[in-house]
Amino acid sequence: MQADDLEISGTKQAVTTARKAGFVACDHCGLVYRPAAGTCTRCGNALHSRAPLSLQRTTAWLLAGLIAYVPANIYPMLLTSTLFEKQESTILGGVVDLVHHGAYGIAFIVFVASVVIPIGKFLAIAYLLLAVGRHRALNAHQRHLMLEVVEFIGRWSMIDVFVVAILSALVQLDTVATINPGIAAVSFALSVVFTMLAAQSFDPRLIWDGNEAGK
Amino acid sequence: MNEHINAAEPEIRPTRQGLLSRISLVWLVPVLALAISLGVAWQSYSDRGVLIEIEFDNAAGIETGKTELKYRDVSVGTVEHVTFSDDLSRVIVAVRVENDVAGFIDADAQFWIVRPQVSVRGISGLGTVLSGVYINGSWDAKIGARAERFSGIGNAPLVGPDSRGISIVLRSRNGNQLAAGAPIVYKGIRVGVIEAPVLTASGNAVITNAFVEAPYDALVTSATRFWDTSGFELSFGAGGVKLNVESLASLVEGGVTFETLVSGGSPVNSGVYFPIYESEAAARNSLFQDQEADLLSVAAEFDGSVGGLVAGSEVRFRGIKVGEVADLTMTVERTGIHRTVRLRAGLQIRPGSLGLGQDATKSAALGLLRDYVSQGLRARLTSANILTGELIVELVELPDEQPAVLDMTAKPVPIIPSVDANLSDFNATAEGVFKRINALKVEELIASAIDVLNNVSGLVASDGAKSVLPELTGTLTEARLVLAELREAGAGAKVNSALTSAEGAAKAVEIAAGKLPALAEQLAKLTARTETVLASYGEKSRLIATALDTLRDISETAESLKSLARTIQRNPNSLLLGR
Repeated sequence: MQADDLEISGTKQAVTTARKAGFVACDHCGLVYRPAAGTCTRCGNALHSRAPLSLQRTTAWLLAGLIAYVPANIYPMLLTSTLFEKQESTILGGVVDLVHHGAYGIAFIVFVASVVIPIGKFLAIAYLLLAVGRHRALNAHQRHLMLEVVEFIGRWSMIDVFVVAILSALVQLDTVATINPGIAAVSFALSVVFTMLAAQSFDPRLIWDGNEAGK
Repeated sequence: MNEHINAAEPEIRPTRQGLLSRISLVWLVPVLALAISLGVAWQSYSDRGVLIEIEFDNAAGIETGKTELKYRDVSVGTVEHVTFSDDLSRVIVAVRVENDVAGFIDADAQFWIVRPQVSVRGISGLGTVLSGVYINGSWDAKIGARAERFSGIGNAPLVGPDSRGISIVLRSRNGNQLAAGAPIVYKGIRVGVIEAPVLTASGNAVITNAFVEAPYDALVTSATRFWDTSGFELSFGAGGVKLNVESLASLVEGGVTFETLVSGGSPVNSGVYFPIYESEAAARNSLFQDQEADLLSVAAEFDGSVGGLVAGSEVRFRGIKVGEVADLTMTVERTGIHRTVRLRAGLQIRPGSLGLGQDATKSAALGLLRDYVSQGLRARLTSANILTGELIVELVELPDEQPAVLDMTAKPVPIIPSVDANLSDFNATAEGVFKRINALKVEELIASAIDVLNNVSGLVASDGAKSVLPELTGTLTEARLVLAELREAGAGAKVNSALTSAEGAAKAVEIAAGKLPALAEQLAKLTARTETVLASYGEKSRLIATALDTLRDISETAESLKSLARTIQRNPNSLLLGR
């Protein structure tokens, strides 16, 4: 059975898709329609065989995320002023400071959350965009998994923003010690939001279309 | 299979056609993000200010990106990077200065590093102990030509660019007492400050930049003299010993004071040079040197030693200083076979001091001096101070001297005739006096004086003495009568009878003297009685009172004895003549 075939991941067996059969499922409520365009009569959601302009939107969000990521790294993330000195630390500067202080664990977490994951997301989404409609080394199933991981992990990149938010709220001891968020905190948060939107805008069905085309 | 599915029929809406349907609105987001980013980038680039470079000897405490440049304690820039000069001899600190002040930083701006500092004047820069050092800038409020390279100064300038006053340069032979920041004091009020003394290029003088604040700058004129008040001044001159301490601060840090000693000075411009004199006296004396052109040069020749006379010794006329000794030279005079050495003292006399007024000319003074000399003016060496042996030249008027004239023909300067001072033996006499005083056996003298006084007191108190005195008086009266007769007679004829009378008088004295042993006996008894009295009288107060009375009597006696002795010494005849 074809349905059984779908259970087995990574196989390149022929699958009759809804699109091929001329059906459209409502993204929202799941009701299946025959024509390829219109509005769901049950929930009022727009019906699309494939999300319209998905690639454009994903590309746009990705670019926005990339642009926002630049100031996030250039400008200071934390403005620390203590009795003795004022310090402005960027994301990477903070990581280096942490390493100097011997806090390798925290440095690793911050580095992964603020550098590795965002950049990985950019690369992953860019790869998915480029892979649409082409045959790639990674098969459709792997790419789908990649998209799911990107969508899942996206929210965890916010860990740096949370740290800044909590520190800023807690450490307000006037002249003794004060921590304020810098421009980079906002930029970074925006960058994370944009990449999450990029991942969401990507219609995973396009991956499978490519699979079909590649076959 | 598809046919069996009963799919729902969607509601068909007309799809919008056109650009919007083909291009997602989401593109606006990256475009907007890019625009904002570029905008921010451009703004921060244009706002980032001007980079200036400041050279320092070292960059102790300067941290890149942290150390601030401050102007009037407001941060106007941050250190961007620190590098070395090409030859590694200096450190170049690049500072990004905010745009709105960058225009004011022109070539005369000054920069220095503020560090904690402890000095006599107090502690400064204490805040930098915690916050770290910062660079302080100082510049005027005028926009000038942009400069990019500055040379930092070691310490804060003592005078800001906008403080009003006058900058002067003080020159002294050494700078051992002065420290940067030492005050300039005028009549006890601090009116300015001096900077660190520096050696001149040739190394033979010390130059100190100083600043006198407005409105006191008007006090500085071309006639102003500066002198050092550092430490304390101990002068030992003709006026005796003088100790002068200006203030505790000047004792530690040094200081300079000034005074306009003569009127008629003209205002001075900034940067004018003033010498620092060692003391007020030197500053005052400098007035003579300054008016050297107007000083009358004469000379005086002296025989014998002029030890104690030095260049700079005073020349006095009727006790007032009119000039000073300029130099001392020796001249050899040949009179026949003999050659004598005479000492010539060059004198410089201020014409104005001779009573001719401030603007007296040299020729007028010389004329006056010539007149004086013809009336008996002479130069004479006089001791100014017995202890130091300091000599001065005194112009004395001795009308009884042999007439002399001011030797106008002498070369190189006219010579004032001089008289010998009995100085040579004066010192010797003084020495002899001291020796004799030293040789006095003071203690023995006092002891014997006490003995004598004791005896006298006993004698005076005794009845015998009381009875003796009238007799003596009678005798003396008789003797006087005899002498009077003698005097009146005047002739030798009466001498014999007078002698006879004298004999009688002598006899009477003998009789009186005959009583003396008895008197001595009585004295012994008296002493014994006194002893018993002393033993019986325990009350000290009474004894002391008695003793005091006795002593007073004794001193009166001694007083009269002394006057008697003086009279006798002065006029021995009076004993005989009764006058």
